[in-house]
Amino acid sequence: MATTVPTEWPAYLRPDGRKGIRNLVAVVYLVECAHHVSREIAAPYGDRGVHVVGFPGCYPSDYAFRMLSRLCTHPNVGAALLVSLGCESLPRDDLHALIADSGRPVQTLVIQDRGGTRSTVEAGRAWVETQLALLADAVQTSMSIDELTIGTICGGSDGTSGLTANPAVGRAFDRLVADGATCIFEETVEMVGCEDDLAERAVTPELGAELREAVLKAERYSIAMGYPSFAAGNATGGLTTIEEKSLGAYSKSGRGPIQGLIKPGDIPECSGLFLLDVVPDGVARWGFPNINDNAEIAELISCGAHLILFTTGRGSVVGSAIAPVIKVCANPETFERLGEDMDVDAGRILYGQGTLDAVAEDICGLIGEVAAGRLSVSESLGHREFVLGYKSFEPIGPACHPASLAMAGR
Amino acid sequence: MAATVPPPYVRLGPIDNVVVLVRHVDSGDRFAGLDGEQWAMSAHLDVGNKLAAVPIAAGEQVVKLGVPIGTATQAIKPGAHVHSHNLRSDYIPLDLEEAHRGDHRAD
Repeated sequence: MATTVPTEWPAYLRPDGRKGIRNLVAVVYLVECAHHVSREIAAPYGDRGVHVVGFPGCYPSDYAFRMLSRLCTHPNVGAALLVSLGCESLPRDDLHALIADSGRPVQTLVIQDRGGTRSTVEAGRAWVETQLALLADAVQTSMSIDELTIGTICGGSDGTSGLTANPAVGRAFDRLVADGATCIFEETVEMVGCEDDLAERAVTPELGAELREAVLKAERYSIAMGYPSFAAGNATGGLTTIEEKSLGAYSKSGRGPIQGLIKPGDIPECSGLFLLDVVPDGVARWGFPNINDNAEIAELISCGAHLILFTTGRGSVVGSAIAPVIKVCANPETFERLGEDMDVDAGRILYGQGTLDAVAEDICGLIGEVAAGRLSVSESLGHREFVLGYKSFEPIGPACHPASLAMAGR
Repeated sequence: MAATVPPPYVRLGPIDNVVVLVRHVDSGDRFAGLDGEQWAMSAHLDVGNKLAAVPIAAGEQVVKLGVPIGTATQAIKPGAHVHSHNLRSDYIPLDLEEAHRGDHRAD
């Protein structure tokens, strides 16, 4: 079925061939000690596309390095400023070189070498001013739906999420995939009980086994943490058990075949539907796999998502750095209270004022408009939340991405 | 007059033994149940909460959207609230009392 997403819109062509729907400067703190300086550098440019991301930890983390690498070379990012205290472990020269190799302007400022806070803020702002002027003249090219990657997440779920917003996003995903887009869903912790259905949708039996194992890993990890993915608000909103929450969360994936299982920082090599596994590998040692919704949003963006569909029942207000977040509100009473933070009213279905297909149509239409430059609600309100913690992953195995094997074999 | 207002719940699947609230209800609200009886509410419940559609026995699975979402820990009468006090996960048991206590600070 045809979507209402326009066939083409203006976008920013990056040297690696990918196209961005935003043209941002990323200011990146390489340890918490450089966070304030980074925030101060970005502060005067609130509505001019300067976003702060970073990693608070001082100890080494391959995961954090990979996440920052992917975010700094994300198609929505045109230039990156790295802000280092000087004695942290993150290998800033490697990150700098990697960004430079991607063809993007990059600058590293080391606070301990620059004379301190004020001097670094001044130097940082001067560099950002220069980049903003250059980015304003960036050549635009045309982008189409088959070049777009969309991620989805739910947050503040309640008993309405699985009835309205989540299945509506699922139908939107089915349409977007049919039109050649790449769609990513996640939250394996919220697929407990759905593993058989998930495995049946895999394009190969080997991938099906990997998907099943990812859900079992999530269940083991949740038990080790002492909590499944379940907050007090979920219960007030009528959700009782993790399998009930799963049933609703899983419907965001639609009904299409699953092309692959990816992990944070893996960029799908073909279009179609992918499951992102955000639960760390190995023994449970890093704490909760998703300390909050923004941890998962950042991971979806690290896989190349240009924009995020965020479904909410209780009413989350967050957005994200780097990629626009579109909020789909599941609960009609929440929409009445928090409408100023929502993009799409899916809860109207419960009042008999729309169907899942009508809401899916709204979502697809809005994706086209936001891709073409219209600000999503959270974007226009200045929401640019970002969080990144410690995790560790094994690389995905050959069964996880059958199409990439086929391409390698060509 | 009240009879002309549609009931505040929907049954999502033909084999479901619970219904889901599409409007919030308050203590004292009464409306026609699926079993033809008047269901009386004894507490405020938000949209999305579940009520028993039929008598549910202790040990019976609770079915929503045609899928089991856990097991009843006690007998539940039609129209009664179905939640953590009478429904337990078949996968990962969750101490919701503890989760709720986490909402309130010690002071």
